[in-house]
Amino acid sequence: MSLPSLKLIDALTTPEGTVVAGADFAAGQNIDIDETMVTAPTDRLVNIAFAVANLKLIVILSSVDMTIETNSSSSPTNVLTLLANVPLIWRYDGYETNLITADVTRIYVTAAAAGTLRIRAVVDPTP
Amino acid sequence: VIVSFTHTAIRQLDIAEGSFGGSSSVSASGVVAVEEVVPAQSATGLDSTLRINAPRWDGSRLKSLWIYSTEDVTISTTPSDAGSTSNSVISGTSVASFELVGLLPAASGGLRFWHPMSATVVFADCFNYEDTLDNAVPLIGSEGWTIITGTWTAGGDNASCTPVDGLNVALQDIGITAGSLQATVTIPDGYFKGGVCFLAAEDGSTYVYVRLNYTADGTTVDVVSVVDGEATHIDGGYDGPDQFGGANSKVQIQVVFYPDGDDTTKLSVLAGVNCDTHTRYNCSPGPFTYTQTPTFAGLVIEHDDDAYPEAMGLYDFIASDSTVSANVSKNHLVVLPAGESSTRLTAKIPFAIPPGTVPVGVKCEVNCHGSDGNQRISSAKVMKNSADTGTGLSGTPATIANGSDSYAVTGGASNLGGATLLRSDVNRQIPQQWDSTSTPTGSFGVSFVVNNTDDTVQTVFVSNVRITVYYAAYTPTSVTLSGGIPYRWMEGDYYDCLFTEDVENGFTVVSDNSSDASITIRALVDSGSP
Repeated sequence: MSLPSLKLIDALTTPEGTVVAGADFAAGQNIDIDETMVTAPTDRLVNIAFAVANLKLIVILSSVDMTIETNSSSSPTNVLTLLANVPLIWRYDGYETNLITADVTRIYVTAAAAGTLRIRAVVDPTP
Repeated sequence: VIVSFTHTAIRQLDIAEGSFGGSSSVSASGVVAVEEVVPAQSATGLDSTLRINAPRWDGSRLKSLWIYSTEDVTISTTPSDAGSTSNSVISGTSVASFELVGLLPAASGGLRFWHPMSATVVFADCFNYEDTLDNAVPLIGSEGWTIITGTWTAGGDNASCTPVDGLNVALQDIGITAGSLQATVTIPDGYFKGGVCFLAAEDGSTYVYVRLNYTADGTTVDVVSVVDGEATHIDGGYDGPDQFGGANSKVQIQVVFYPDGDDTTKLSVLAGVNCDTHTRYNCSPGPFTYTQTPTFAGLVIEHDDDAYPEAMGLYDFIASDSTVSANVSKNHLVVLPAGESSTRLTAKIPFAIPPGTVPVGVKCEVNCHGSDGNQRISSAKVMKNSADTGTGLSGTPATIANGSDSYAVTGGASNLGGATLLRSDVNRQIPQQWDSTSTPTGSFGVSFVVNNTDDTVQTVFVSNVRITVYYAAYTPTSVTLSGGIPYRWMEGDYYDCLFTEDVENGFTVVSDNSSDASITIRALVDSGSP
């Protein structure tokens, strides 16, 4: 039984109409995190791990402005600054450089208010 | 009324338990929408290219961008055309070189050669170079000529060549219809060091055979030349012994004349053994080189001989300057004899395109007028040195009709450059598109053929030969799009936009795929205040 694929939809509505592009992502490992934080988190540990080289797709969405530090709260490898309800999306076949530059063993979350963090990732565990 | 357009981006992930994502919107007053088809790769294997001219925006005002292709393509911003404000004139080290072959009529003018740079002048031969030296006088004042300073520094033992009068003419104005002509000149001890000048005229296709016999050592030098209605010099002395001379040395000049089937053709021969009363400089075996640095101000060569025209070669006038390149300017005054004589003036202006920049245009400007006010340049061509890399320039030579006010413009073939010829009182320029994919180095050249078809001596003044190379001030942004994967960016995105430069001249899309590619571009741009 294979894991369900994730379908990424990109759409842009313009005065000339709407353009849409979609793509399915599937691999041997899916990472799903839905973490509700009832209080404003400060360096809250969230366990998530993947090898960045194996990453196919990652979508990170926070309901509040949030800072995510990878691997260490005191000396993070990467710092991601999320805007509320603006998903951070990276796809391996896209055009942008991944903001996550090294393997992730855990993340630390800081926000000024309570909120929800959702992460979906597709990882190929046997690249 | 301020019109505002809006782009709303939706990025959504559909998963088993539903979907999540977000949307964001930006508004601005300008909108761009392009939908085009890039043809598939041709059967010959050449890339298919589509030039999209429409998009044009200031990079800092871009708010939203969506580019989508159904097939793999490479999309690049197109460099701006020459002359736009974002271009820069090429700068850097440059060397300018002129080659000028002229004919100096007897006592009728001169050859003025001026360049405000350090220079090396090489005379290919030494015919009457004494005249050259003696009359290389500066002109001061209204014409702007600057005093020539420095010393002729040719090598050799000048003192050993004692001047002798009366040997300048061995054969003179002898009309013959066929056969040979022979004369012998006795060279006093130690005087002759080579250099024999022949001038022939009156026939357009005469074949002249010249034999020089150096009786002192038995050396024989055969020189052949086709006289094609022009004065011709034969520098047979160069091939002779370098130190020819000695007691009772003689030079035997034999001219064998073959008319071209017309028995009435006459040949007038002026021949001279070049050893006269002037102080001689060693100019054998040539070339004679003059070097004056660092401030070679100019050179004026005037011919004051009242009897004999002089054929003279002046080659490889090379001026170099480490600071001037874009606007190399020269002045030439060429005196042309009456009839069909012509001279060719060639300017080469090397350059190097700076790495990371893209040449986008080249133009050439020339001022030219004859002494009677008529245009005398009959053809001109801007070309790229064939030995250089990069894309060459070509074009049909321009012709300026004698006395005409019309100006033909060369070039314009595909993406190549051309030349614009200008009258001295007109400034016109036609920038030409450069192949944006090339990175040429080397030199541009512009050559002119100056004809005088009048029955009087004309003075042709060619000045301000200026070749300007433009290059784009930025390297075009190029992105390889994968078919079916949109490039999308919106202000406030987590990633920087890949197209950060101003898009001034649209996009160039290249497809190497076997299928047509449909391109969709959507952009939202703040048009700002007018």
